[in-house]
Amino acid sequence: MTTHTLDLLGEVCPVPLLRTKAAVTALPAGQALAVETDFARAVRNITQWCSRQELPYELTEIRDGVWQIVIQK
Amino acid sequence: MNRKRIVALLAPPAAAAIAFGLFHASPKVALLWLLGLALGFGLHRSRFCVAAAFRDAILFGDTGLTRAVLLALALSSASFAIIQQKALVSGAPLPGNLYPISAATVAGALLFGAGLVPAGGCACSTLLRLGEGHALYLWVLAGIVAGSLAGAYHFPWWESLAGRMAPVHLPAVIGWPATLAGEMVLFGGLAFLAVWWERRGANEL
Repeated sequence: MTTHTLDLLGEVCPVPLLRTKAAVTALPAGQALAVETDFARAVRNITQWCSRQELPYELTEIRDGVWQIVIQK
Repeated sequence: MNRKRIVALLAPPAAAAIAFGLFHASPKVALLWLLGLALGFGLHRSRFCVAAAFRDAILFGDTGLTRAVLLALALSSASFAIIQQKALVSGAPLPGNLYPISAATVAGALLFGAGLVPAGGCACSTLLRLGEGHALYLWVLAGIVAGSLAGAYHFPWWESLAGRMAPVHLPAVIGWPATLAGEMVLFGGLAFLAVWWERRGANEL
């Protein structure tokens, strides 16, 4: 399985979710997208959006204040 | 044990020690300190953001924070009504800043919005992100301080722009029950609209 990465460090709302949506839309089915953000509100934004789209995701805090969300499509 | 856990373990006793120290000087200040901590904790855990209440509803069809802001407004309107009524009954002047709506309100709202969008949040979310350790927000805080200073310096001019229209205190015109009922219908109606907007599915892929 291929995992693409999307670096959103330093981006503030609403950019993280807008770019995640665009990247997930462009993602071929069966692949994964690893999104990295340091904006806490965006973590909630993105994971809630994934739940609503019924896309499975995995959330980990990879460093203090930096989160990675791996979204499966 | 990592650094984060050590800080988490030390923070509550340190906060309690400060509260205890403040209590000797002034119980009111100690109470305000604890209230401030509780507010900060609640704001941080909920990722409360007034900017997101509008932005996420319009852009993503996500109205969770919109409804949270409406609830906060409803609660504060109701409690402020109690404060105002108590003051009026005891003969004290009406508490609160009452200003008529004018061109200054529109200009102020536009300026506030133009600052809040690139900053990604308003004043309270700036403070909570600073507390979180988000260094970028030091710049936003500097902007807020500079803007507030400029605004305070300029305030008489804005006040003159507001014109000579007297502010309207609604309870004095239609009475307290009708005012409160009207406010609750307004906030309830907006919350209902928010739920409808979210269900409408503005957040489709």
